[in-house]
Amino acid sequence: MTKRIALASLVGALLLAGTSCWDEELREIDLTGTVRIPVELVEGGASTLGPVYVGVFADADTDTLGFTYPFMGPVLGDQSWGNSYPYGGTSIGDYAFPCVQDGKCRMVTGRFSDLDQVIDSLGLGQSSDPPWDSEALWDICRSYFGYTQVQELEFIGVDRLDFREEDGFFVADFKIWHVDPQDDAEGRPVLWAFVDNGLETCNPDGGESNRGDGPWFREGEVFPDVLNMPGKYMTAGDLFSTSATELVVDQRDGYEVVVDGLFEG
Amino acid sequence: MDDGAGAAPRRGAGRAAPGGLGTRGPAPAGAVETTGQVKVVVSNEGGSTLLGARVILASPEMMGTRTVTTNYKGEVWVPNLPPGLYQVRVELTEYQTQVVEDVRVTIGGTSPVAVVLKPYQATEAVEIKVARPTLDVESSAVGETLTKEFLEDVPSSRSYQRIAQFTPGVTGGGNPNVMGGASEENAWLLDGVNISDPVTGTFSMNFNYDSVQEVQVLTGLYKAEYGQALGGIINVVTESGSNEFDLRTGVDYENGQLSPRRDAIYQPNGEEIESSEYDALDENLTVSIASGGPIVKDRVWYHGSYSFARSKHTAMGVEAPRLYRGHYLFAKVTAMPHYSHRLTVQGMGNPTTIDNQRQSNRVLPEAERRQAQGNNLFMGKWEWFLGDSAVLNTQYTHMKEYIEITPVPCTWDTSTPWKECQEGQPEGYIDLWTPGVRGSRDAFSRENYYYYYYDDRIMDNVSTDLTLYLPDFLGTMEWKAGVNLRFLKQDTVYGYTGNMYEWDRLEEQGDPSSAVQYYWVERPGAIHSAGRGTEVAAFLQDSWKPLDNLTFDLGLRYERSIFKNDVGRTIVNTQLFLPRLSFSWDPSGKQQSKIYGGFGMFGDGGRMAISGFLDETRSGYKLYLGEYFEDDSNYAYDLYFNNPIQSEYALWPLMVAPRSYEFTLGYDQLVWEQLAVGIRFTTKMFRNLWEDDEINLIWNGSGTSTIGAQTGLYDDFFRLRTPTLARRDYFGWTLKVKQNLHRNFQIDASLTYSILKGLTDDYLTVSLDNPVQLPNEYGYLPADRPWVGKITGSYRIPKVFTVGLHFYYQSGSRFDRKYLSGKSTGYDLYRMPRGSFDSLGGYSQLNVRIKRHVKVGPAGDLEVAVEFLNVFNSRAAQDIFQSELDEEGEIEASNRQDPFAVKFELFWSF
Repeated sequence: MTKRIALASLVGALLLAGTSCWDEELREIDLTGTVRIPVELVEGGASTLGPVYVGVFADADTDTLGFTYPFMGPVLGDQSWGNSYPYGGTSIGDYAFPCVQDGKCRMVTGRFSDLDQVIDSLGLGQSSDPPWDSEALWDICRSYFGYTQVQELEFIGVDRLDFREEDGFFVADFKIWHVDPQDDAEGRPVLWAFVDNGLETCNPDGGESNRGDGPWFREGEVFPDVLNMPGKYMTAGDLFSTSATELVVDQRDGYEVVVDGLFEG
Repeated sequence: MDDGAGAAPRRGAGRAAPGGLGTRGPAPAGAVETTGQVKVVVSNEGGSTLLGARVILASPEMMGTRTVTTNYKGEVWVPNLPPGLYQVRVELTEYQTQVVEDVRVTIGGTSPVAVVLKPYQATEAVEIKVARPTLDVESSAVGETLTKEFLEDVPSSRSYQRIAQFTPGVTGGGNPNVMGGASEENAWLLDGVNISDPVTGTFSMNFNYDSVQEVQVLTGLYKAEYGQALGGIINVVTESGSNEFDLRTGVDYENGQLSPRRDAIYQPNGEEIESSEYDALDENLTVSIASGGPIVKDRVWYHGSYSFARSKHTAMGVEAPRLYRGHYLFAKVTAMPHYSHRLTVQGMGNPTTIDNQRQSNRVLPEAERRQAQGNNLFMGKWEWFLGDSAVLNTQYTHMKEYIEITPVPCTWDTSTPWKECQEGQPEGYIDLWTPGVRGSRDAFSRENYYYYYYDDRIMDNVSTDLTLYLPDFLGTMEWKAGVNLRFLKQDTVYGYTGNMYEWDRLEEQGDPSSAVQYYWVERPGAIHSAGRGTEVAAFLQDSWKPLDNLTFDLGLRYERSIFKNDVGRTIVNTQLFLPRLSFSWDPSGKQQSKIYGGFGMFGDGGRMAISGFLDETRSGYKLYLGEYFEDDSNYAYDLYFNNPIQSEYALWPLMVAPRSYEFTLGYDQLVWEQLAVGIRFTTKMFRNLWEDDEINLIWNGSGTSTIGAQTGLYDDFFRLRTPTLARRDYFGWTLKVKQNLHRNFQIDASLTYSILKGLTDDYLTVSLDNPVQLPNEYGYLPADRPWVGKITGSYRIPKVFTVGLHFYYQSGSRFDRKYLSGKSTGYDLYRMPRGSFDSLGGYSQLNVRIKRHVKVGPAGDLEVAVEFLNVFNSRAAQDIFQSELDEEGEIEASNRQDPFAVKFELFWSF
């Protein structure tokens, strides 16, 4: 009898435990894919690319603005751009504070493999006497962030480079979390991306207060409405998708978003 | 609710009134167990069971006596006995009467008594003093019953909240973590009624320690009558009085000046990491009195107590002390107008004020705060003994808890460092009209405290249950069925003094030249909101003994919870069926060992804090008049934002009640006289916990900043859920040694190894708010303590004194290395799974209590006790500030062990 009861309790317990795999029926989905940028559109290599913004939008059209752009809401007042009300999005590369004021809003993560490259590329410390080297910059960073290894800087590292070169494209992976494609939207949801080579999406007056020596200043940070109004930040030299990638029902992975248009302002 | 521990960081929690060490009283049965039972088997020397023997039970804890007659198996079952020591007298014609003394009855326990009657001889009744069995071989519940004789001897800090820490599987503080449970997932019972705070789920009142008769701490496999908890059950049964008058009064005192101090700790660059303790001050004092006795002998008893607890704590650089003053009152009358009816009414209150609560050297006395708090409780109970085989209990409880936060009252006494009264203000005036100025980043807070908050939390509880004993139905069965209704309400009024406050901020911390003044104007007037909740529970359980040495506890519990937010919208509407199935097997049948185990499912129907999360009465419009007034797009500053009256929160309609699944298997063995050892394995899986996520903001690829908003409004839109992701997993192995008081020695020792991993160790955390961080959110939780060892015990050196000790060791808490987030809302980022970076070192502590009774002739007893707390002055860090690590990766302790302290107690009993 004991054996039977023990067995019954085990079965019951497993059944009950199984109820924890209950489905919430959330609408949100996660999407993965790659962004592909033709090499010939990128002068100076992938390290010169600004942040890449990938969004999921209700649709895209090429007529309203003369180039492929996400569907917008009404243009209000004297605004030039309506709100695109994105369903989700992400970025490939973010603005990081490179420890010194000179570099704020200029440092994009996933582009540089070491501090020398950062100094050379951004021309940091050139006005100092003597000019900084990577060791001096690391001393500043260590003091500021409290890090113990160079690898802790999010903007440095071979394994943190976003782009690889494949078949004439710079290719980077992306994952978009919690996309909520509204069922009742007109059109079909699409993926659309642009590259902010002009670094206009960074607000130099935002971000953390710098805690280093000297007068305090803001470190800069990305504007919070980049995907809502991408056009507000697009300047000549930026890149964008000339054809948006349609979402496919039940497809979660393997999307390709090609950024092949040069925005001329 | 503040237990005074904050007022006295040493260990002032719940400074309870000393009361009746000698008091006795019938603890009433309740909706859940507050009593125990005795089972007597009567046989003759030939081993034959005897029918018709009269078994008479008597105890100072019980009015009158209980008399029952053995059945054909020679058995009697006497349920509903208040915990305490009993005398069992067995009489049968032609046999010699026997009296068994010192039968210990504990809450929820079964005390077996085997009596072998000898043929009648012309002598007096035989007295046998029985040893108190350490093993309850009929119970599979996991936990401890902390008896009065145990609590009297060991260092307990006189805190009913903290004695739960003696129990294996319990860690944390006053609101403990019980076998993986969060601190707000326990049920606190007073005389069988759930009096957990309706909003937070934590303990709701401070209590007179000496009015405690016994405390049961259940950590697992508890019966279906217990519920509304994912963690543990802390069941406090109070004193009731006795047939003898007694009076006990005394004082306990602790002075932090007698403790060693730490100097400040600095970084190599000279920056202070931890403040000096030399400037701080601590002092704790409790004066108390308690009395019990008969109003009508064997018919009506009373017990009452009062204590005044005061603790002073002054932080470094602060002049006005944080002053905690609590008055704890308790009164109880028990009546037995008829042998089959027992009535109990009791009331308690604990009005308390805590002044100068902020204790910061950046808060001027005029901007200090008072917290007034208390809990008024009334309880009425009727127990109906339906013959020897059934008991019907009905109980009603009304509880009103309040928390009031205001500016501190002013004084005209300029010799004190307290807030001074202004012209026209009477002594003790609380100024709700002058706007306060908040300081941040080392700017001073001044003018007035900026906020007020009045919070009433009301509970009405009705319960009834029927216990039925069936001695001849497929063995022996004890059925119990009950229903419990809880009606809850939270009523709050809050606002800003003068309906406005200024804000001073140093843009660069510590640099007065970077000061910027900002102004916020709040919506005029106070904001009122009220939420409500209803909880319904029903249970059916059976303790079934198919064989004399085998007990099954079978049960099913139903819980339904409905909580509404401030506008009456239903937020929580859940129900759960919770099966319980466990066994206890005594292989030898000699009460020498037991194998036990089982499965249980436990539920958490929520608290008002859950529904309050979706309150819709917002804090109103805010107008920013500072430097950046024109720049309303500068969200990163968070200095200007518009908080309109709208729900920024969403409710996902598909929710289930959080639950936990427990599997336990254990083995206990008596190894020498009354010394038992045991081993136990428990796993507990917490699933679908309360959690919210954020559904509006769109994050960049590394989760450091937001780059869009789905709604076009750049604000958080939270959503309440019970997702599968929100889970917690606990595995624990425990070795245990225990002996109840025997040969003047008692011990309760354990060593536990456990693993606690999960997504959330609290409710409504930020764990799901930033999805990019999700891969790192599941990990070792801060409450994870791989190794915990405890030894609690005492030795009564006859005619000299009693030495008690409590020693514990536990692994340090885990912590993470976090990295700066660009979104300045507290989202510091993980780069590896939570809890995997490092952990603090383990730490231990030894507390010793030495107690001596001195007879002072007819004037009663004097009891002198000294407690030495943290004898080795171990000051290990218990928690650290877990934001970004400091330069060179140094950690900053946010909490350390209290230093060595001495506490004196002097009590007089009459």
